[in-house]
Amino acid sequence: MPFPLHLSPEETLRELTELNRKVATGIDNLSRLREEDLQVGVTPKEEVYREDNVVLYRYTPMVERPFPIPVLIVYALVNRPYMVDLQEDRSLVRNLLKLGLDVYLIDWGYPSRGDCWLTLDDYINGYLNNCVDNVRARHGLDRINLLGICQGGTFSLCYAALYQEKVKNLITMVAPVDFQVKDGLLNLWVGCSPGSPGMDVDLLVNALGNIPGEFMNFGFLLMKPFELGLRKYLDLIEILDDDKKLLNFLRMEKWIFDSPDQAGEAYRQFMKDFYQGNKLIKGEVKIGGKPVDLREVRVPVLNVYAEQDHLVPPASSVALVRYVGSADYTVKAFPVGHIGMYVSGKVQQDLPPTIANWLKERP
Amino acid sequence: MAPQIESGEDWQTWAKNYADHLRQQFLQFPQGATQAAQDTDELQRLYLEEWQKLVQPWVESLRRVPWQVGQAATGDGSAGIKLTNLYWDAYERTFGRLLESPSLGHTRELTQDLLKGFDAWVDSRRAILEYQSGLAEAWAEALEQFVRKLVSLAEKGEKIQSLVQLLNLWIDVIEGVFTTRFRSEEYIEKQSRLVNTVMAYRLIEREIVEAFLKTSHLPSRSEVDEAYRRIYELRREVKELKKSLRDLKAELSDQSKKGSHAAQSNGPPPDSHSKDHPHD
Repeated sequence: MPFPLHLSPEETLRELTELNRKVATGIDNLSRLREEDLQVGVTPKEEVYREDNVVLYRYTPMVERPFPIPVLIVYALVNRPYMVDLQEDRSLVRNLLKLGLDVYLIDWGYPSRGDCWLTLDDYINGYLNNCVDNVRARHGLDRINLLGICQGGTFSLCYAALYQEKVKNLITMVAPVDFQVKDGLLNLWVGCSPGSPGMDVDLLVNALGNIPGEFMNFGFLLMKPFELGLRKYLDLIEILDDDKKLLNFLRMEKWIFDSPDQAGEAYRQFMKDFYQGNKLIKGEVKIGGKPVDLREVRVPVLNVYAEQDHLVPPASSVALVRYVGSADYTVKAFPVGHIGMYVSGKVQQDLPPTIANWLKERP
Repeated sequence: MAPQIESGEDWQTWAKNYADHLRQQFLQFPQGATQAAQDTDELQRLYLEEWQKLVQPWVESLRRVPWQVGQAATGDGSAGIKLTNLYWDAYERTFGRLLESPSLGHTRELTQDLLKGFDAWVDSRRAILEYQSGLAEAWAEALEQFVRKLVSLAEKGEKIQSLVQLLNLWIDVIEGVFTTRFRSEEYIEKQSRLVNTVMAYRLIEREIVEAFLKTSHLPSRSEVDEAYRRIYELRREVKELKKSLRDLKAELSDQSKKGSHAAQSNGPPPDSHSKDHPHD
């Protein structure tokens, strides 16, 4: 049987020499860069409302007369929302603005230890509702559009069920709805499958207060330990001598590890009720004592999901069709992963027009 | 006796009584000695019994060590865990048993906390070892799969011609092995136990630290969290009050506008001295 390894000494040496040349050039490039060079969230915006750590931004419109009904982007509590405006050529926000939409975004901020008592009631009935009211008041509108991303999509669904009189159209993007799906490693680890041990969320929150961003990061990295911990950095060597690609990589790296802590009580309820209890689809979730029934979401819904999403499995997102009360329901899939939904060049060509056109068809 | 002799008292009777007493002592000595020997014997027996109870679990554990080492040498990943568990089991059957009993004395509360902390620490160490053992098994499996993959490539006539290609192949294989393992119930149980036991230890550790902080006139995490909770509740109350105030103001403003609007549309008010006025 022939031996599969055909590594001749000369070629191996050549390969190592080339590798070292790239590393040397790369170190030279890296040495010239500073943290300030990693500009993220560059699309011009202004702060229009602030409450505690939460800030509501309005992006400067790029057309003379934007679409009259603004869209409010509700991002997840996990990771920072500038992902939707990571860089000029990979910015969902910028593309939506170019297509004539008026875009707002909620920045949840960085919870401190003192915020460990914040609940989902505070986030949804409090901050989100106040931001929606602010946008409505600024535009003199009864209802606005919501674009919820990931956990923000789940929040937006809850909000639309509770305050349907304030929501015109709802877009959910890679949003988990059915949490007990066996495809999701995260779901399995938290204890979503019936009978699986799972972790004791109460113990975690009681011990830590806020759940550290580092803990969340570690969990996400562990889902693909060698892809994200090794191959990614081996691939980095290939682009070290390319300033543009290097900066792109570093911006992404900045975002990945820029993780806020999770407010303890909000985390407790989200993990226990949504992940472990799967109460959203059962109609058993209560936010501030108010029951959330997805059948009350009767506004038009556009559900966007990623076909290769390992964080929010497609099955978790597409389940929405079975529970939402909307008669105008559209689903759209993209052949990317969870992060690719925001940064893939191909998706940025298709996704913004999909969203903009869908909204404009429903004034 | 000398003072009695000097005072002329009856010292003979006293001497006789003393001699009788001594004689009785001597007569009873063998019986007493026997009893003392029996008591000593009983005491030694008790000590030996307790010592045996203390030592026996350790001896039993040590007897099983060679077997577990042998199992580990044959590639049984769980043998390492079982080896460690031998010592933990021996501890729990000996010192652990005593330490679990209620504490005594002025510092019993602190002692209980320290014992709980030790138990929690032991639990967390065991969970960490079990988790690491699971990972070690995964590494071993990955290596095995990698070799199989190389063999499979050789059989197909495919060649690996660069280090990068080799490395990518290795990453593909190991990623597949680990992510498959991560889905198994065994791994999930180990991971959950790891997180849960470490958090449980962290909680009891905080209680112990706070007990010492109290004596050092320093605020504790729990006290600060309690203060934060009260601030949070007050903040919510203020927000609700502000909202109520805003709503009231808006309602008053609406009513005032409606009132002035109604007044404008009804024209000027009637003459107060007209004969139709009820109070004229």
